[in-house]
Amino acid sequence: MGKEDKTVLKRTPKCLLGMTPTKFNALQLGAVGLLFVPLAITYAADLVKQEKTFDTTANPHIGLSNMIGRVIVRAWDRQQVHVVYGTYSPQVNVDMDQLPQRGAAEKVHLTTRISDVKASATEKTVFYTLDVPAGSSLEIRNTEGRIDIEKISGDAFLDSTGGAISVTDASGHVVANSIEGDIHLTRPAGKVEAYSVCGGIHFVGATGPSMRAQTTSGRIIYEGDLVSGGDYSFRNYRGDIDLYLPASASFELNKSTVRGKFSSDFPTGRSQATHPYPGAHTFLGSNISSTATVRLSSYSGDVHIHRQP
Amino acid sequence: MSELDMSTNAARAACAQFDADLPAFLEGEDRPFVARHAAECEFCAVVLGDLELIRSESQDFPLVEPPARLWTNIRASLEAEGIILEQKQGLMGWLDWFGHAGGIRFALQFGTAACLLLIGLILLLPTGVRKMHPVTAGVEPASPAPLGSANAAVNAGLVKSVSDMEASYREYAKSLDPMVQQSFQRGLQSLDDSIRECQNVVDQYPNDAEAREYLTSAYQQKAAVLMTALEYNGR
Repeated sequence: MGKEDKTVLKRTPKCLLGMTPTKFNALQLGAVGLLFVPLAITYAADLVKQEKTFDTTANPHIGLSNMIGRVIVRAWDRQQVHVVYGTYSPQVNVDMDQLPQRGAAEKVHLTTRISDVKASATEKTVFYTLDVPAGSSLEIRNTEGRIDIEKISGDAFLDSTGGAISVTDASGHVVANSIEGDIHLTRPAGKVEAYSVCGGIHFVGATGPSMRAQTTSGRIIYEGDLVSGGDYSFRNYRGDIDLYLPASASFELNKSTVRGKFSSDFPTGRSQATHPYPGAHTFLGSNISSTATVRLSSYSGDVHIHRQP
Repeated sequence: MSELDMSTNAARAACAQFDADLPAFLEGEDRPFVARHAAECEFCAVVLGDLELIRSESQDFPLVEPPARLWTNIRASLEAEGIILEQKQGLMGWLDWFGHAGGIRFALQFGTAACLLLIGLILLLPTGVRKMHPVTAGVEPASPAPLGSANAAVNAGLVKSVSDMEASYREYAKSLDPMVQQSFQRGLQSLDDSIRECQNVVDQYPNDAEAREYLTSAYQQKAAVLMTALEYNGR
């Protein structure tokens, strides 16, 4: 836990998706790791861990508001919400409410309360790990901390200013907002809306009917196939947009690049010569019966459509 | 029906009557049944006691002036949603109107009515949309300014609102947690860069509709980020 805590507090200086690969060898990594051991032990010693379990319905609404510290929410097969949280300071309290107050809760709200606004970042840090019914709907605000969501089938609204947001195997409607944190969406099976200002947005293996992403200077990456009938809309200002699609992908492309470059590895199937903006509206791929629609819009960032083997 | 059941039903009817008369009683109307029933029913007496306590305590609350940023936020929301538009004639036009109508003496009443109307509109707006899209709140209806007007590449009201919000934010940011402040600052910086880039192109090519659309959208996004920052209460 201590090692993980340190990771969360580290800030990413650049508004770019992805990490620059660092060429450390095993020995160097080991030495650096050893340096962190005393720090980790100190953190672990100060950490006060508490837990609580709520009996809930099959699809409760769960609200969580936190400032700093990682929030992990995982689905399980019980009709219960199990909350484990850790604090470093007595200046920090966690309010927990449920509605109705007796019986199976339909709503559970967790709120971090910081009594001393001048407390240090470490003192304000609270870590949460929640096991929740798969059908839960989530509303999570974690201002400067990372949010990790796994296997939730209810709707999820996730909001962070500086923290990253990671959603894995979600099947409900996901709305993720950040200012500078990156947003990662792995195998989303429902509708997704991801908005950031300078964070990157990364889709992997999406199967949902609608994927929408907008950022200003982060990078948008989409990796995976397109669903027939799916609607994909990616908009950027200065960052690049990269689509990595299988060779079999076919789609209707509506693109708009003002000052950036556009490139595609896909053959043009049939273009609409009568369209008022030639080239803006094109079918790409070999199977023009596919009805997936891809809208790519960038002002000065480059747009690349890569064909994967 | 047993005697107990009859008694219970009568009590429920009395409590229902109490509930029905209570609002009027609290407004000062003469409803003797409320006090009479409260003397007989312990539960309703507690309800009445609590409400009277709240009423008496709330009279001592000072009237708090809402922060200036609230009005700026409301205005920016309404402009971004396209509900209100910048008056072409500006302030002088309004003053003329008041002068002709002889309504300047009603300025306070007009102002109050306008504020109530604004609050009403805000309350009637579909809050779910803002709630679910804080970053893009109000940015959807991108409405580029009319072509052929280089100086009006972006709705002047939007630019003014963003400027006002930015001024409010500069004050407010001092009280923000430094880490949060930095995140907002980097986001705003990124948007400012986009605005500058688009503005340069619009200055050179006033009829570039796409550049204008991006410029408008960047301003709207900046308004949304500023609004999120100003509404951030986890100082």
